[in-house]
Amino acid sequence: MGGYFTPEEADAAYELFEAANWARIRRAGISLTGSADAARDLAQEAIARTLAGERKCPRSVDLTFFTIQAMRSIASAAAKAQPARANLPLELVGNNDWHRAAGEAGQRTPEDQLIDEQEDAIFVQNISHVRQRVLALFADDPVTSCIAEGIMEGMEGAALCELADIDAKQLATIRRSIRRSVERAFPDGWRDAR
Amino acid sequence: MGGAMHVDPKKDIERLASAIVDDLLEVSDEELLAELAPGEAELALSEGQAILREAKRQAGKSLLADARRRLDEEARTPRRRGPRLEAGPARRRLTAIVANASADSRVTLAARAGKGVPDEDLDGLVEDARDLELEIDHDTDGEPDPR
Repeated sequence: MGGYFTPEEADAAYELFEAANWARIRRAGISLTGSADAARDLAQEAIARTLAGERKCPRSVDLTFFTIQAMRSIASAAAKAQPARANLPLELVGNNDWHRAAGEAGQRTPEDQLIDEQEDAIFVQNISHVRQRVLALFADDPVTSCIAEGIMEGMEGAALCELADIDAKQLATIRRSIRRSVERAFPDGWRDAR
Repeated sequence: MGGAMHVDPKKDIERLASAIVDDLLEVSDEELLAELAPGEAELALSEGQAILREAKRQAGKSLLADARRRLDEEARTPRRRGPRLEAGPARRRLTAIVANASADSRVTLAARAGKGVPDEDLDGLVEDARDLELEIDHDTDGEPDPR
C-alpha cells in the first residue's frame, strides 16, 4: 500500500509504541545531541512535526525509523543554521524553532563574545577529552580502535574494510561493538562527560 | 590517524554518533532489549509516553497557529461574497431591489438613484441588499443581458 500515514494514523501508531521503540529513539537522540535532555526535546520535535502533518511517514517505512531520521534531519538543519556557535548544545526555543543555544550574533557585546570564546574553548577541550576516552575504550583491540578512528575521520564501508583488512560482515560486527561500548561509557550522552 | 593532529574533535564525535545511529537503525528489537541497562526499558517507555503527550500538545498548538495565520491572510485579502454576477443581471437585480425598497430608509440615496454605480461595485451592493434582507424581484433576476 503506497502513500503516507495520516497524522491520525501516526498518532495511533505512536500510542502503540513499546519499550523497544522508545529505547531506540532515546538512544538515537542521545547520540545525535550528546545529552538525554536534548534527546527528549529532539524526539518531541520530530514527533510533533509528524503529528502536525509537516513531516509525512511513507507507509512503507517503519515509524520508529522514520522518527529517528526526522530527528537526524532536524538536528542537522539546526547545526547548519548557526554554524558560528556550533559548539553549543541544541535546544528548543519557542514553537518549532530549533537552533543552537547561542545568543543572536548581532546582539553580542564584546564581553559576551569573550565569554562565548571561553565557553567554546572549554567545549573543545572537553570534546577532545571525550574523543580520547572513546579511543581508550578500544585500546587493547587494535582492529576495533582502527575502525573507530576511521569512522571519526569520515571513512565508510569499503574504505574501513580496506583500512583494517576485514570483510563487510566483520565490519558490521565491529561497528555494533563500538556502539555498545560507547553507549555503555556515555549512557546519558557525551556532552557533559569529563 | 597514526598520531595526526585532529583540528575538529567535535566533527569526529558527530561522525561517530552518526555511525552509532546507523547501527541503531539496524539492530533488532530483541537484540536492543537484551542490551539495555537495568531499568532502561521502563525509563524509555515512561519518557516516551511523556514525549508523546507533549508532542501532541505541540502539534495542536502548531495546527492552531496555522489556522490563525490562514484566517489572518483571508482577512487581509478582499472578500468575494458569493459568485460574481454579470454586470447586466446585477444591475437589473439592484434596480429591482431598490424598486421594492424605495421607502426603506436603510437603502442609501445613492443606491436609490441607481445611477453612477460602477459595474465592479454591483455585486457588493446586491450582497449588501441581501444582508439587509431586502426583497428581490425574482422575475427580473437572471434574465439575459439585453445589451
